[in-house]
Amino acid sequence: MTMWHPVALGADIPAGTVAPVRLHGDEVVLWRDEAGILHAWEDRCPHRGMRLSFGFVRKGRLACLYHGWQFDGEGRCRHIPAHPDLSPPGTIRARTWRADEAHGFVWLAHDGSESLPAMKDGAFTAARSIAIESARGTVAAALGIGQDPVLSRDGLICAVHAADGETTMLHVAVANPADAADAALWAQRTRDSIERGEAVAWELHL
Amino acid sequence: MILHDWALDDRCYAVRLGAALMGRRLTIHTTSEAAVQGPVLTGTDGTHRGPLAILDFLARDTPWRVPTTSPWVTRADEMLVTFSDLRRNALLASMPQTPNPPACRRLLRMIEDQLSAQRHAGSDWIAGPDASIVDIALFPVAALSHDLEVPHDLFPELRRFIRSFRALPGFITMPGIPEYH
Ligand code: FES
Repeated sequence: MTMWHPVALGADIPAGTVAPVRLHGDEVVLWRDEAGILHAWEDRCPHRGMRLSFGFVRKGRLACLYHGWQFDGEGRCRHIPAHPDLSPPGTIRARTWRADEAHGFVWLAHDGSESLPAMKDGAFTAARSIAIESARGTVAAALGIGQDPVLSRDGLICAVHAADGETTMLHVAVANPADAADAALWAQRTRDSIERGEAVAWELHL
Repeated sequence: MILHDWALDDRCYAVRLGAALMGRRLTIHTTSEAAVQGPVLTGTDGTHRGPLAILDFLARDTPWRVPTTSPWVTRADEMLVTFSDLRRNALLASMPQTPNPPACRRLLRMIEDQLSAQRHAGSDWIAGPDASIVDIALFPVAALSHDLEVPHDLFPELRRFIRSFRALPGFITMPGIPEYH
């Protein structure tokens, strides 16, 4: 079975930008080309293994910061500045992850062939992605997130993922755009409660 | 005006960055003393020390805003100095340092929380509706935190701030802050 993990709010990766993500310690680069298409690759340049997430987007390609190698949307190396006349062999490729978007979240899968399960999608507004210095299990238990990766409650749509063993990202979206500012503050209070070992309070508006 | 400067110092960078954004010309005098005590500005108007005091002085007669009533002016000064100490220790240490120190994470979390509140209030900037000397002072903290191996996947607001800031006319880099070609 393909495991899909929510790893970011789509709104945090605007067109033409690059963002690092860690999933259980695996380092992934997310980038969106100018047309808005999202890509997810291992965060290692095939050249010397530097972080691709330090790179930048140019004309539908991700350029590595270090020596400027450029990779197209499929992860294939297309240009090597030190050898501008060389057509890079097709074997030079970034390792791709599967990425999809739903509920305003970006989802990643490492392997498997199943698509992201259909979710009833409303127009959700991103409120905040926030780091909590607690293990994912602790955060999920405090929020009451069970098997279902997304929790809908009191107008809040929450998802969590483990960045590493001690750090969890909580991603919060809202059904009503007018709630976004309060939801961002709710995420902050929730982070503080969970880190202190206190119960989560679900009141959105104080 | 003469800036007593050290190219690799983050506090000195904040001043050079501010001068570049404000279109103020400074004569740079490189001195290793600035690597320890931070930037000093001397001129006919006297001597100014400390990144925020210098930025405040440079901003006079420019459109750059000094949010005098915001607690973030004092806070930014303290945060930049704290960060600078942490970064200097990490870069000069003879032994490998623990990456991602909690003290640095705390600084970034404070900025992250403020940027989130500001974004929901309709601003990209830390103290008020437009860019101010607070943003100039805290940009080096945000952008050079890589030197302390703080993972930026934990700070989406900070990443957005870095992008917005880099787009300001007159923006300049320092070693450790890449230029995109
Ligand atoms: S490490 Fe990426 S181009 Fe060299």
